Amino acid sequence: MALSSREKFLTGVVVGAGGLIGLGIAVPVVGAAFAPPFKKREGDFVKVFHAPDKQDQAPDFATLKPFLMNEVVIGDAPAAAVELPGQSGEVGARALYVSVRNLNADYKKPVLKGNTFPSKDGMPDNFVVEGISNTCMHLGCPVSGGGGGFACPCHGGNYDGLGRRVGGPPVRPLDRYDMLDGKWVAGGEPGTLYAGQLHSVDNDFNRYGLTPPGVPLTGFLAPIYPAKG
Amino acid sequence: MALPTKLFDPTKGRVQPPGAIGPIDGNPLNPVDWIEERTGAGSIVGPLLFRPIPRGVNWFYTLGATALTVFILQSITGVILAMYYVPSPQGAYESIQGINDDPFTSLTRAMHHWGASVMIIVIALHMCRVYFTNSYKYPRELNWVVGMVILLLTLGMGFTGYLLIWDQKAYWATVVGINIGGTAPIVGPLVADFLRGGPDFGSTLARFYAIHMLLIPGGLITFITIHFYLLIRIGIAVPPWVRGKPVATGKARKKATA
Repeated sequence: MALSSREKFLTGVVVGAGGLIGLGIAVPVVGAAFAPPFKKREGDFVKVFHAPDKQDQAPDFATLKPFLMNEVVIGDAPAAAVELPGQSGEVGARALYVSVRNLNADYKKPVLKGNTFPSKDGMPDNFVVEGISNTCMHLGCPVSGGGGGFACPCHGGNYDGLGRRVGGPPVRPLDRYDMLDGKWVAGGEPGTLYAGQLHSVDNDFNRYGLTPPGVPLTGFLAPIYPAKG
Repeated sequence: MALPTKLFDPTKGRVQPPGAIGPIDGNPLNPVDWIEERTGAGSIVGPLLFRPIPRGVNWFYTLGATALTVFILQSITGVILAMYYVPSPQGAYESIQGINDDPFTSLTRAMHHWGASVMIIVIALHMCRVYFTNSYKYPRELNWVVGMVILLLTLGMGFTGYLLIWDQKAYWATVVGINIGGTAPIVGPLVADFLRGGPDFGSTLARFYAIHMLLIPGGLITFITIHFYLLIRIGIAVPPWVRGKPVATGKARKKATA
């Protein structure tokens, strides 16, 4: 039996209203499931090093040097491992390797303002403090120092002192933290080094948004990962 | 011999008063009669249990029912475990140590732990049986697809449940597993971010708990129901080692059934 025009109209109204109600339920629910990964997190800065007797001065190499020398040596530069507590408790704690690099020799691109410190104590040029994350860029195992740089125990990935891949399955250099002097941080104390936002880099130290391990940023496979950072 | 269609017949020996609209039986003395009068449950359970089975099936044809039994077992033990498990990174491992201390919950946890592996094995063997007896062909193609969905959901249950212990092995297995998924082209990083719940693993445990307890079991119940409905509607396929009537399609079918 064919539907009359009145029945067709009412069917359309009911289906349309039902669709609107369905949208009203689905949009908040699906948004709650998918939105948190996409929310941009404004830099939560973590204090890395504070020189209590040098409150008003920017940290220079002399103040950083004793702090750096007492932990690890990565390559030929002194470095220190700092533990950043994760939100997942002790098991998710991440280490941050702080090392000091010569600006002109190692970096061809400009670095963040606040990252550069005037040279002292035998360093010929301005030096850069960098924070290297210890998440391996193959599948996420924690790397530790080894072989003149970093080495990953899981599948044998090797990195040099700057975190660039020199061997094994990783696809890109180790992620970096923004290392800033306190006076460049909102609410930060001068004379204190802060670790800021974690971001990914490629081999020329171009900055990308945080990308999962295993996703290449350059090279012929990079175009099939369009939605990175 | 006619197969019984109901469990029993409550109308046997019944006297119908004249003018009665439906079957009138006064007060039955036993509870089964009482429920049968009001629900007609016998006419539902009968066709489920007294289905015609083709001649020549062997013990491998029981694997499907085994998978259903293991699923029910996992559901029940999972519900019991959920009463004692604390799904937060700070309390998860200690709550499991508490579960291990009590003899009853420890046994329940062991059943759930080994039942997970048994479920995967039984489902894989069931899939092999369906494949090697050609039981995926017409008219059972959709049932095969639904079975594949159930397989994927079961693997998802294993993956999400594995993290809930929150020890080193579970945590790093999940880190690596999610990052492997993140290397898939185009959608990989999005799926990895959805599973991880953000750029770090702080909210992964709560997410996996919700997926393991609610999302995937809901999907599993839905698809197992569809799987069962299709199975009962179409029937069990004749095994290939038994000579049965060949199934014809199209014009040949019209000619054969004319």
